[in-house]
Amino acid sequence: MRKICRIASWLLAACLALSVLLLALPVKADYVPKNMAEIIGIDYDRITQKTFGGKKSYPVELKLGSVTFSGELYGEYGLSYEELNQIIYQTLADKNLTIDRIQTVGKIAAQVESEAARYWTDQVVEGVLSYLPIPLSLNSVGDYYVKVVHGETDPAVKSAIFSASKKAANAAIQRAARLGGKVGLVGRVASRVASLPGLGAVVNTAMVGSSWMDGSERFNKFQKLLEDNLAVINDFYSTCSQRAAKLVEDKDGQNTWKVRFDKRKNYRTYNCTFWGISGNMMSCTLSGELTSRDNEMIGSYTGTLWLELEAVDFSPLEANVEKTSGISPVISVLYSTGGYRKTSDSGSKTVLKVESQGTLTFYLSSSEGTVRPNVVGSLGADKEVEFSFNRHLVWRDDTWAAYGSYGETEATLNSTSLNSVHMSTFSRAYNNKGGEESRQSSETYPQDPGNVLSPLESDPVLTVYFSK
Amino acid sequence: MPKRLLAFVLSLLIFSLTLVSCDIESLFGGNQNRNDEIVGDGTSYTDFMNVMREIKKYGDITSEKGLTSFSEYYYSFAGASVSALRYAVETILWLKGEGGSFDDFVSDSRYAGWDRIAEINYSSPYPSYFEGLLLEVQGKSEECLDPYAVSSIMPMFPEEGLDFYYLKKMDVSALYELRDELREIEDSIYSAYSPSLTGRDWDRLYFDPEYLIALSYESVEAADYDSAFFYARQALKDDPFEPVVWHNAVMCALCAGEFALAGQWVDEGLAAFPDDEQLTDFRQMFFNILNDKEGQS
Repeated sequence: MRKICRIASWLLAACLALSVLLLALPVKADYVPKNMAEIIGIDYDRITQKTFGGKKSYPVELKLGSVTFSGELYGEYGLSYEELNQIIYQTLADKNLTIDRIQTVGKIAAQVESEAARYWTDQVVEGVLSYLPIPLSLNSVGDYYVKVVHGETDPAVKSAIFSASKKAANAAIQRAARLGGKVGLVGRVASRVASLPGLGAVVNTAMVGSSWMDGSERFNKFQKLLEDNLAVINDFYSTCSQRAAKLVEDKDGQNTWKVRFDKRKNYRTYNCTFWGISGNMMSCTLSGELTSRDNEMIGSYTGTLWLELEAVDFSPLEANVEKTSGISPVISVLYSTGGYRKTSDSGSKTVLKVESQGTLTFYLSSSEGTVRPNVVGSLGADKEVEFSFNRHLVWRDDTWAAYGSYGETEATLNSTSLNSVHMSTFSRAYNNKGGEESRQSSETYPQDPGNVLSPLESDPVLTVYFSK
Repeated sequence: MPKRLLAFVLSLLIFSLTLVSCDIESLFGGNQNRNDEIVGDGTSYTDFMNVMREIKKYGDITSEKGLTSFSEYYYSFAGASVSALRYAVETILWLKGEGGSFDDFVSDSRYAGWDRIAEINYSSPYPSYFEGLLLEVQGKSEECLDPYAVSSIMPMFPEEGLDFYYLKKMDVSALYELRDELREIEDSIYSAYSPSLTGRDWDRLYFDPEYLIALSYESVEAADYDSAFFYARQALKDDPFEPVVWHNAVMCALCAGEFALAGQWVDEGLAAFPDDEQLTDFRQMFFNILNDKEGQS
């Protein structure tokens, strides 16, 4: 019964310990690499050409009239982890090495230690040791120790260690005693002392006895082995460093400092007045890159930007075309008779699309605070415009309807030009006697495009925010 | 055992330096009196200092390669040996009537006391040897036996023996000169390496890594992991040329919760013994922990 209780209590203790471990280990083993893109076990500090996550970035604004676009000034210096890892894998392959041969655990171990500091150390130590690839179920830190260092769990291992070299030690003392001079004195002293109480242990555990000559050869071999092993590792990291440096040099040959405007982040809308009608809505999108000519942040940048404009909502124009600056004087004649009113207004959606590109150049003279360089160039120099406007309107005058007379005017307005509209009209007047009078006209009227293309026509204003 | 190999190499080095220099003075201890019949059979302090400078260079080389434990071995061996001779010279000067109290007389030196100097590196035979020498020159022929005996059985005890008895007869001015030169060597060593001393009592068997490993075993069994770690660290400092010393060191560091140091020793041990299965298992252990954690997250 006592035995059963003892086993039960042992199992309970083991369960408790296991539960503590399950709580502790996930935290203590929480190794967080500097960057998740790192290959575990590679000592990146030994590669002289470092990564910096690939780039450095500063906010940039480009103002075109009332529209402000967001971009970034960025520099790809150093290497990305993807590029560096590619070099590492290639170097391993070229030198017929494996990642296991190069792996180091120092950083993992340091992380384990910092996390373990929060927990009950005994539990953490057993938890860590349980990860050793030992195909046995061991119960204590001591068991692990014996298994790992002495290779057996027999308690007799201790006495086996202490009993080592007894004969060799005695022989060494005797040999020393046979030597002459002061050495002989020391040796004779030692041989005498060996028999004295309290110093027996000194002699019994002495390790003298093997051949000096053989030892010398082994020492030299060890030194060479150490040198060779280190040379393999050093050569690997050295080659990685050289290749990384060369890649950086090659990249420097390209232009790595750029001002970029991402199309996906630069969709804007703005209200405009077109043909004298306000409240129309346009959209615009900016994209493109300006590149440093000098491969450095400070210096001259140039490149092409693309600006796309598109009509979003021209309903104010479509509903009030008769009030546009070009034709309102004509239509006003109709209204001057006093009785006309619009009875129909139809047409397709107004289409306005502009694709424009232009070369901009600026010189960035500083990398501190807010910098607003002078920008040379325009985005409106080279543009393609697609415009389509058409409306069909009907007016009717029923002022004299009581007398059986009325008047009607139909107008068709078309335009593919931002600066004009063509209007053809057909007017008829009916009298109470069945008579009819009609009149037609067809004429193109100039229109004022207003500020519909204002982003294209404005001087670009660029601002770089280094302090943001 | 490889330490004995180093001792042999050092012996050869001493011999070579002696031949190359063809300097009678160096053969007889530099500035010591040529007519002094007490001169021993081949051990001059000039050669001693040259050898220690060479060992210090080994420390520099291994330190540059990031082999912390190997560099500690070389630095600490040279440091303990040079400090021991310097302390012996200072003691002889004091015995000759120099200075006031002994403590005041040695207060300008880096390390004083045989226990303290020996702890810098227990595998150096020089603290024991010079301790015995000082007792012998004072006529304490019985008391000198214990330290002499211990030094003589140390693996690093030079095969051709040690004989610095002539220090007793050297002029005071020559002894001061020697002390200052030894202090300069100490400065060069300890500017590159700072010994971590605990002040523990000096067990004369600490020079034996197998003995230290046995003490580690006893301490682990008694769940005294701090002591186990101390013994393991001393064993590594005594003899870093045997894989089992590294196994013991890593295991005791783990037991003591010194995981960062354990990781460093795994890496350094594998640099020396890349095919060692136990060290490879230790490395795998850390990666298993990491992989397990990544699997959970």
